[in-house]
Amino acid sequence: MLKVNDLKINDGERAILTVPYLHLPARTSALIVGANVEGRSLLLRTIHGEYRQLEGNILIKDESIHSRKIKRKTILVQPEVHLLAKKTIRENLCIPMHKLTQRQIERAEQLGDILGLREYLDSPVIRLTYSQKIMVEIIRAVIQLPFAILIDDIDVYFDSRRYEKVLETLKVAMESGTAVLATAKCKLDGFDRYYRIDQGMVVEDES
Amino acid sequence: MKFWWQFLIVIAIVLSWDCLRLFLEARVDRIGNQLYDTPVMFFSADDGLTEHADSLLRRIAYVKHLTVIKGEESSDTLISKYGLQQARDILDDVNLPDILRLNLEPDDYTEGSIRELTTQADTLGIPLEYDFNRWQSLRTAYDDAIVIRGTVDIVLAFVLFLVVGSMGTWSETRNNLFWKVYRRAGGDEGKRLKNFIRNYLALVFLPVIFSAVFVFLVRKYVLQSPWQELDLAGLQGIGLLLGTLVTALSMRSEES
Repeated sequence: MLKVNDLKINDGERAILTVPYLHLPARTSALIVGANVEGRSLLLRTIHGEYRQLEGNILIKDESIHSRKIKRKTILVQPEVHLLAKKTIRENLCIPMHKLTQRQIERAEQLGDILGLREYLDSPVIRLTYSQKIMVEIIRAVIQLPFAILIDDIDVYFDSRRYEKVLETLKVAMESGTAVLATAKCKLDGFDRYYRIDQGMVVEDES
Repeated sequence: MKFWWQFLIVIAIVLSWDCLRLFLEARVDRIGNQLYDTPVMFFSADDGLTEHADSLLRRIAYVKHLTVIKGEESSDTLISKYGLQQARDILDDVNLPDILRLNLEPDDYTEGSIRELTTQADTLGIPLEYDFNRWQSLRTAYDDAIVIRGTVDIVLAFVLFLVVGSMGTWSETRNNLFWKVYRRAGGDEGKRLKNFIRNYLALVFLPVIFSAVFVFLVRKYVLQSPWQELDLAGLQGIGLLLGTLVTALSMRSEES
């Protein structure tokens, strides 16, 4: 369970964004909708533990996101690609782990099938398109089964067909207990909960 | 560059340094021994004065060895050395002086100590002799050998620092992309630091320990020289530590 309570993200003196309440149980997905410069990416970076000028708390399993007690807390996927271009997809999937388990290999192949990447698993990443690279990052996040996968600007990478496939991929992780939190500039289908950024405050969108 | 390559390069430099140092040390010892074997001699015709001079000179710290050769002993030596059996009667009639033979510590066998001994000789009223030309050439060679040894140590410590610092900086800069991807892929945030500490602890301490053991064994079983301080291992440790520090600083500036 990801819990954000009375969070204020600051920029020096003033608060840029406030999140009074955002609880995301396991196996749940949520989308945060906001316009440009409203702090969508900053919110995800803060939840990921990268940005630390904050008040309030962000908890995973009732432990602070900055606590060292919890491993594999969140994995953040951003527009900037984080893959080694000359390595194959398979090698890139191994990067955070010493070695993939048989279960992870099977899962990676299953997800490769869903996303149409199976035949490229042994090809270098440099040959892939931008959206395929992001899909590789999503597969890498899913096979690790973190507490939460955070995807920034999910609306910019994929066409509608691929978007459906990516949601299907994320569901594989959610079935194993992972929560998914994404941001977009407009409301998209396929999420369990919706939030919007309204005048510097993240509020639940019930409409 | 794989870390083990860095490790092997450092071991190669350290061992080469050890060999060069042992060679230079042996050279210093050889000249030192020659200097030690160039004695200062006092001559005394009076037994009482010989005893007084003996007790006085033994108190001087840099007098490492003092031998008293009595006059009769000198005539026996002359007879046996040169086969002068027929001249024994003549030599028995001559009172040869006692000789006080002093071997000095090479490090302290300087102009200053010779001056001090000359003053002692003047006070006692007995003459002093030594081979000035031999002493002067050996003294110069000894001082030069020590300076060369020290210079080589400093230059090699600097080389070790440069090699470790540049190899480490280059290697860590090349690895930056990997670690960035590693972290973003969900890898342990502290893994890079843990790896760095583990690798560089090994890079600083293992070559120093290896070198100290190597030098100790060569000194003990090959050169059979007495125990010497571990100043070489200390210098190597400083070079390695400073190189590692430069690598750590470059890594830190890349991360921030």
